[in-house]
Amino acid sequence: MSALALPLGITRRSPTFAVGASIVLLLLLAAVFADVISPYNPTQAFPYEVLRAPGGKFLLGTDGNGMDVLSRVIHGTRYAFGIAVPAGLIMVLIGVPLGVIAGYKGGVIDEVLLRVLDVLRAFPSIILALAVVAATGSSLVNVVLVIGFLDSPIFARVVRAEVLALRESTFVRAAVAVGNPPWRVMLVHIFPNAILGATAQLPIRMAWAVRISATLAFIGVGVQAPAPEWGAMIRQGAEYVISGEWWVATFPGLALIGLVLGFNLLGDGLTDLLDPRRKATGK
Amino acid sequence: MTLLQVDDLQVHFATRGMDNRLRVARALNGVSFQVEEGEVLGLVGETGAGKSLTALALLGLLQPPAVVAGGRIRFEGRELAPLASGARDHVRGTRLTMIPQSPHTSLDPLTRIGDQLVRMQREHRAVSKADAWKRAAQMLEEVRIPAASERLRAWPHELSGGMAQRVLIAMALVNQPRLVIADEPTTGLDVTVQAEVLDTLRELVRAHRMSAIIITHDLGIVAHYCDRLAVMFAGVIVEQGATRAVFREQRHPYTRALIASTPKRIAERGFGELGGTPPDLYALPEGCLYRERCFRAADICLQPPPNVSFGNHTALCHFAAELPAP
Amino acid sequence: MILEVNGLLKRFGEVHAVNGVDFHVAAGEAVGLVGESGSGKSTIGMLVTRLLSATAGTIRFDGRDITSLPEAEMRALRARLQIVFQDPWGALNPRMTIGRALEEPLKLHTDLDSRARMARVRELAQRVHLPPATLERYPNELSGGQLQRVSIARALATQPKLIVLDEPTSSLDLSVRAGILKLLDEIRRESGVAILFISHDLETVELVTDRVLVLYLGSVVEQGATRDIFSAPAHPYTQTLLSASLPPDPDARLARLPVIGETPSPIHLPPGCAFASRCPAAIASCRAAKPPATALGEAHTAACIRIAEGANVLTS
Repeated sequence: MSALALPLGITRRSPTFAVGASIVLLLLLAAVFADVISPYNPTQAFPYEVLRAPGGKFLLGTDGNGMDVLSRVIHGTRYAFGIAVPAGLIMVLIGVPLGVIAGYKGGVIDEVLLRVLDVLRAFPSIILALAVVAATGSSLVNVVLVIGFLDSPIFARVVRAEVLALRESTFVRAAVAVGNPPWRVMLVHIFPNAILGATAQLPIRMAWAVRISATLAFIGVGVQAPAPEWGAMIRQGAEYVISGEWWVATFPGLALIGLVLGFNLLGDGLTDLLDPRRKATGK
Repeated sequence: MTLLQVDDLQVHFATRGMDNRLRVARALNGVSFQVEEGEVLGLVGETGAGKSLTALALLGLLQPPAVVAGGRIRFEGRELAPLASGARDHVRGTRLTMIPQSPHTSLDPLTRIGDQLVRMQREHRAVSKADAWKRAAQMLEEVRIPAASERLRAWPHELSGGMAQRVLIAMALVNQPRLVIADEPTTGLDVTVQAEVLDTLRELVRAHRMSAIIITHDLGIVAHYCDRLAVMFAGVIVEQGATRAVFREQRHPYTRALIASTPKRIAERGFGELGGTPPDLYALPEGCLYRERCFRAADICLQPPPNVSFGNHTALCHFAAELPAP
Repeated sequence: MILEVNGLLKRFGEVHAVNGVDFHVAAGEAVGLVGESGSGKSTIGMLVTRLLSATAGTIRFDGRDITSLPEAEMRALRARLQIVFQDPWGALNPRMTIGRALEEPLKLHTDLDSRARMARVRELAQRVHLPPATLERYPNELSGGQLQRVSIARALATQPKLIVLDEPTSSLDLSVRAGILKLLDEIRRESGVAILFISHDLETVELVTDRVLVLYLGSVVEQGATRDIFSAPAHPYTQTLLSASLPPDPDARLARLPVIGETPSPIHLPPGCAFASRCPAAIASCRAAKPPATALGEAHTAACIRIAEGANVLTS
């Protein structure tokens, strides 16, 4: 009973979370077991099987180089997660302290953050990302760094909003009254209570990271063929849509939509679950 | 004539936690009381006793996961539960109304108060806008709001706390109900304003020969504005009777503890029996619901206590007869 | 003198929350701040503990001027000056166990090692009559009364000389209030700590305090021994306030003084006496200037020019 009870309980409380988590989990498993479940090596070209329609030996067909679309889509999850997860880590490591300090102390740091956010809001981030990656080189590492850094102010803003609310709460006042220096108020009292609200944002930011990296690859910057990255695959596949070979671009496109949707639902659902109306267990 | 008769009212909340287990909170466990014509009854209790819930049940305003699990409510000789929702709405708007807590969250912030009073009338009676407006002005005068006709055009946020509360009273009384329920009518009001608002309420109730139920946790309000009082604990009425009688002589240990905990009594007699933790509605004890906190509890309290009568004064306790007068 | 406040003023933009307040608290004394909404009583509590900074005036704690003391130096003094808030649920970090919450002041202000601290924490829990198991719990698992005891224990941890209590029982159920008041009584007897008790509940203030200040719209209208204020209130506002309270006794005779209107907005306060617009005894000169405090007997003062003239204002 009890092993199933918690997932059932969560699903009841937030079907959104359940669906999102299932999708992400599924694709994560695909990433982990990609080598096992892929019928073929993703970069193995079958020159006599170029642009085969889905069915038979190649369930989702082959692309312009004769590579199996299914295997490439499956391996594409590694790129998606391989970018989203480290980028997520960077945005947390930078965004959280930034948000806490900006929200609690205000001052110069807050001003700088707010101005950076203004710039980001005015400037389409895809163009910034494009510019930086184009300038520094299309390596995977660069893409991760750029996305991570670009997103941290946005994450910081979410954290900052939580902190601003917490700053006025009674227990933070009490923490000051007891004699805590500001660094301790931020570390012990503000931070643990602020991240709860910000946690729901993380999957949503990761969804964005997946989208941006695919977009960069699609444009021709970032990860490039023959690497089985969805954006690069869509770029290649776009050429063939007009001539009727729809599957080359469609399946990676669906996978991309699926993962982004999954992350977004996960984030939304997390907000439901962490609703303060429910008693927080604190453990 | 008994205007309102409540018998053995039971209300449960059924919810599922994160572990998917069904948990049932037994919020009302057999509430029985009556209100006569022209009488003001005080419903007293602490948090979780079930006072507001009782009001909602009487008005037919309970929503899932709350569900009436038993009991009867007879108002003006008619059973309320079987009524169709339209009929119930009508009763709620015209015969049995409520003055809710927190005026500033209970008034529609986007509608002028005159319009709200008019709306209250036209929803339940066939009356022209002009007549309704006139009556609205009349009601504002009755609740002693100065410059009534100008005030009709005011927005809720322009009113002070005391005035907003008076507007709520006006809204509850505009359709001339027989019984009005005032749920903590003075929460958030200053001491000086509180007494004035209660005076106005009492005046109106008397003038229109209505009955009222005042829900409160303030014993001072009960002492001076209620003819009879009913004390609630864990969803049951543990004691009820004429106000004077109950204040003079408590027959239930809980009532005794409440009265003993007022600063006045403490000043006279020192700190005596002290309260415990509020009852866990998910895990109520067997037998008497108060026994885990009761100074007099004994083995017999594992049996449900009888409702012992002393004339019009009743107490739900095995030891009601022997509790010495304080 | 543990606390001396002179000419305390706090403005929030246009609003004069505290409008020139003088009072003091002697060692071991219990002083009450009484008033309705807008009186400034809670703000005074925040000012005195330097959780808000004063616009003007001086605050001396244990002989030291703390009005503009740099926060770093103030922190050390906080060991001796503590506060208990009105909201028991909000006053504790929801992610800290009770034990850690009680340990915190000891970590900040003492050199005790971990074992000694935990021993002291257990002592504190005992002192406020909380079972040791409570120390492992989180705030959301405790009732309001228990949480307030925790807040009191936290305030006592560093052996303060003064504790400010801001409406400590207003959010609690009736049957629980007495327990907290009894605890405060015990603590005062044992440790001789001074308390500043802020409340709108007259009955509780009468029970708990030695001296009382009655506040109206940021000014002190009357102050004196609790006994004197409650048996023979002099200022028209104090009389009105006391007459409006409802004792839980149906046989008590109420002699309510008529109340004119409601408390006006604290923005744009008129120059004279703050109560003039609602006072049945007001005359023209009441509106001219703020009335000084008139001495009425032993340490009993009232700020009213009618009283200064010798008029027996509003006998009830």
